[in-house]
This record gives sequence, C-alpha cells and structure tokens, in this order.
Amino acid sequence: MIYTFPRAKEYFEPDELTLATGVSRSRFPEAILKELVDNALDEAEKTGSPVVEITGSPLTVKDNGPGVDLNELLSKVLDFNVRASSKLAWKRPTRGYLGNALKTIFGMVHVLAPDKPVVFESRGQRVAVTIRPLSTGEIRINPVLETVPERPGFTATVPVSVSGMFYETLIATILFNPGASFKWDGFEFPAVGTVEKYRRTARCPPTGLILNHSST
Amino acid sequence: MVMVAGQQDLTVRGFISRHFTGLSGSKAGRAVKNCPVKRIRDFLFMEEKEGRKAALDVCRRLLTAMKELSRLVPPSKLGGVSKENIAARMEQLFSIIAKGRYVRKEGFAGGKPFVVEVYYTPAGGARSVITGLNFSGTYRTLFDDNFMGVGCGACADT
Repeated sequence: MIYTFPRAKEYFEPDELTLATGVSRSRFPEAILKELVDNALDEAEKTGSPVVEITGSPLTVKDNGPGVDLNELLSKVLDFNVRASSKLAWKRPTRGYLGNALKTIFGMVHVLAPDKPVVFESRGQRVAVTIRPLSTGEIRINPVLETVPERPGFTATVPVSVSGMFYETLIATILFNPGASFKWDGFEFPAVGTVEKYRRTARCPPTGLILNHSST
Repeated sequence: MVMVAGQQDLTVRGFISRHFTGLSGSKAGRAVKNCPVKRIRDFLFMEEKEGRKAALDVCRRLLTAMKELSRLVPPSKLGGVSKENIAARMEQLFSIIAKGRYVRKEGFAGGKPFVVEVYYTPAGGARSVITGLNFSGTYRTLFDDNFMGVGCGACADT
C-alpha cells in the first residue's frame, strides 16, 4: 500500500521545517529573524542605500525597499504547492533562492504561536494572515487586508519574540553587509562602506538551469 | 518551466543572449543552432504535445551547448566584503580596533567560481568564530572548532 499526504503540510510539521531550514525547533525564532532580514536586505539593496530596522518583541523587520503589492505577494506565497521567488531560476552568489522562505516563516510561526497572525505592511496596505493546517491536509488561510497610511518599504511583524541568544546570525549578517545600515532595538549600525557584488541584474552563467520548481 | 503572463514573448536565442553571460550575439545563435524550439513559449507547447521528457531533453541539450560555448565567470567578478569593511564593522559591533590579518582566496570548485575571505584579529577573551555565506550569516560555524580566528563571508556560487 502506498500512503500519500499533501505536501503543503510539510510547511507546518516541525520535523519537516527542520529539514527545510536546517535548524531545530528551539531555533525557529532565529531562523525567522534570519529569513526576514535576508529578504529585507535583498529589497533594501534595490534603493542603493539599504536600511533595515529590527525590533525583537514582537519580531518586526522593516526595510526601505520599493515595497510590494501585498495581493500579488500573497497570491504567490500562500500557494503551498509551488515555490515562489524572484531569484529561483538564477544561480548567483546571492542570499537564498529556494523560494520557500516566507512559507517556512508561516510554518514556524504556526509551530511557535498557533492561530496568531503574521502581519505585512507595504504600499498603503496591511494584511494580517492567519494560517491553520487542517487534519484533512487542507490549509485554511485567513488574510485580513486593510488600507493604512502609505509608508516606504516593507514591514513584517511575526508573533514571536527574539532574545539575545538568537542574535548570533544577525550579528554575522550585519558584519557581512557593511553597505547596509541597521537599526536594532534602539542601537544603530550605519553603513561603513560599499560592497562590490555580482550584480543581481547581471547576466547569469549557464552553470545550471533549474527546469522544474514545482514541489508537487 | 514556469511562464508568467505578461512577460515578453522571447525567442530562445534572445533569451540566452539577454540573460546569460558570454553568450551574446553569434554565440547565442550557435547555441540554438540545433534546438528545435524557436520561442520560449514553444517549450510549453512541446511539453503538451510530446511530453515532459521530450521538452526537458531539448532543454538539457541546449544547456550543454550553452556551457560549451561560454566561459566560466572569473571569481574576481563575485566581489566580496573586503578587509576595510570587515575591520570597520568589527569596531562598530565589538569595539575592536581591528589590526587583523586578512586573506582572500579565489578559485573554482566543481566548475563554479568561489571567493573565501578570512579575517583574524586578536580580541582578548574567548575565541569566537563568525561565518557567513553569500553575504548572510550562517546558523552554524562553517568550519570546525579548531579553525583559528574570525572567518567571514564566502561568496561562492552555491
């Protein structure tokens, strides 16, 4: 007999999330922090003067990037049967490109704080998303969208607190991104220089085309 | 392969020429010489008509031709964090006036370019190793516990 189960559930099982993120459940807050900061840096770098603001409780990460259309973002991110990334098809020396970061964040938040919403704000919209995997394998998603005063960038708030013991990877990310300014719970780390990088818009070497990203 | 509505209807040659380094102009033409598919969207029609395997086989042959015609990106193009920047951040983060030793190594591994930057500075107190990959901190130290000093960002194409 062959048993089957919906792959979407993988995003909500602690063991599967550990495989996807490389960290154990006790370090999920750290993984959420890292993924949010990596995403924020990717977006903020589009401006030329990246600024990332981090608050530990509740964990909030804000960037000064161009922002995103939340409807478009949610339509891609909340489909747990596909991977969605602007970097998925390109092999470049860049922060993650697996296209599952936001999905794993929803999963880790579900494990740590079930039924509490993840909140995104960008381009004058705010959405609070609550996700609950059902025993049938169905994923119940409840996004509540509202209009708010428009502010630059993208802000993500998750119902998780990040304490000092989880800041090691953040310190490393600050260290290796000297071209970005960070504001972290009242402390400021202004940019100290410019960084030479392989441009994200540069053409790509044909070292490997990824032909199929569907996780089905 | 995923196509998104609203994007340009590119020829395979145009797609290669536009997006892949070292394959512009005549080289893109040579890469597609034996490719039976002219436009990117035709891969989808081919997949529908002849099946996924047939479409993937064409993609693989095309990729092989592209690899044969292009040169590897040199590691120097990958950039890096730099000694000055690490020293400045060390001072900012840890109040360490860094007078450390910096080593940058470039090379190829598995046919892909890489850069490794290592910075070592005496700081007093306990030894600490901080590692990063592709401009992002890592959850665990990339090297074993015997590795000396403060390691830092490799920016290899992983």
